Amino acid sequence: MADEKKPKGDKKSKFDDWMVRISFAEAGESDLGFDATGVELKTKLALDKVMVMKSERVEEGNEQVEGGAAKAAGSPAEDRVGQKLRIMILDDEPIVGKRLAPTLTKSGFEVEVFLNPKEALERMDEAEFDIVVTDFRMDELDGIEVLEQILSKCQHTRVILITGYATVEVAREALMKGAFDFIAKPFKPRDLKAVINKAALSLGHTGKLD
Amino acid sequence: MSVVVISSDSFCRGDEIAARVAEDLGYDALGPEIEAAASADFGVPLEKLRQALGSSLAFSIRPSRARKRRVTYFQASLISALSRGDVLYHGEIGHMFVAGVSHVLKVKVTADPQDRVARRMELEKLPEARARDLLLKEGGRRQKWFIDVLGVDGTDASAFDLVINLTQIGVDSACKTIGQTARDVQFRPVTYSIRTIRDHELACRIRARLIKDYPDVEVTARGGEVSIRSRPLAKDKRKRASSVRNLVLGMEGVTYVLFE
Repeated sequence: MADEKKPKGDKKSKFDDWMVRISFAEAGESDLGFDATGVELKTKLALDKVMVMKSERVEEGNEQVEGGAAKAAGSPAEDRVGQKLRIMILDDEPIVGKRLAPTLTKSGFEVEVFLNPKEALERMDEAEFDIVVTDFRMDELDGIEVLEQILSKCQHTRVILITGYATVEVAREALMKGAFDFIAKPFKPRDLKAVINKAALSLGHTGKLD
Repeated sequence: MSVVVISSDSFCRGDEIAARVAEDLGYDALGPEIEAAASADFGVPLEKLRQALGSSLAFSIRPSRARKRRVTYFQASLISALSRGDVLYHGEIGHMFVAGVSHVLKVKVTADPQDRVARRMELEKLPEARARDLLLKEGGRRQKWFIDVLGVDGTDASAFDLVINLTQIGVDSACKTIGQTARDVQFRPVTYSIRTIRDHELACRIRARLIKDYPDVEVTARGGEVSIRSRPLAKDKRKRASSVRNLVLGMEGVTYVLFE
């Protein structure tokens, strides 16, 4: 007799909150872009939901205290309600920015790409970025140093580390130093976009993201 | 949102600690349920599974394909349960299967030998010499199991994130420490760790499905893309390779199969 049966189907993961689900729900998508309409639709639905939640929060605050502030008041995103979310991509491999920037710009983000971490940090002195996507391993400064310096300049900025050298130790160190998320390369653009959307929501962003 | 895996030496009040920590964190507490699930899912008698895992008194020391297969079934059921998150698992060997997942807190609970002997004497109404002898024998057999089955030193403290000696710390403090550590930010799931455990779950599920026909099969998965390796197959099995590929392609979460 066979010593085995067909395994039971997976139960739904508790990690599957509605944003993370966007990352993993679509199978078979090309690495080349965001053509999958399912992803776009889910992203839009998710953001619509948050905008409703957000407007409800603001209304509640206004009822309680005149001119009451929303939860994420003071954050770069909150200070520029209605404006595009500003994203910095920092990776010394040009292909990363080259591939991600058009996709994110098309999705409604304002994107600046840097290859050099020092130049990126200098730019941080001039302009606020809501979200920074940075490589972990770079020649002049590593991603953890960049993370620390960014958060010392602007504690609201959400920093997402990407690396082709992911380990348990590095992931934990990044979280301890304040990283918003940690992604191993290679990844699909839609995966990063889902994390960026999650970061935007955590900032209470009310702008329109397509 | 993290996962806690507690491995305790016998007669260390591990069950009590696991139950209390799970309640504190609001997690599902799992232990022998995983063995029962593997037994049901893969059609293996529970006692035979427990023997293969070294959980039974009739400890299986002799290496065999059946033992390897049953350990694989257990691993698949365990990873499937842990991949759901908000779970605490208590068992002797679980920590060895989740080494590369950053949001899994791996805890070892132990106690000084005299305390374990005293507890066994009390619970099993044994004389001291007998209780001590049994603990020593069982400990030696468990160490051998780790080396034979998993090829690792089961007593290596570096396999854990946290090691607690109950003789020095006490149950209340141990529960508090584990709960606080599990809430630490570094054990928060991130995209990388969630993907790691999902890939692992898929690979284990496929391996468990194939291991009876392909005892040396190795499976890796990455975002739904599956690579299957096996030693050179006999002619008849080679013919079946394409059907295996189709079988795996039909499994949930699989988008591409490379059969080498």
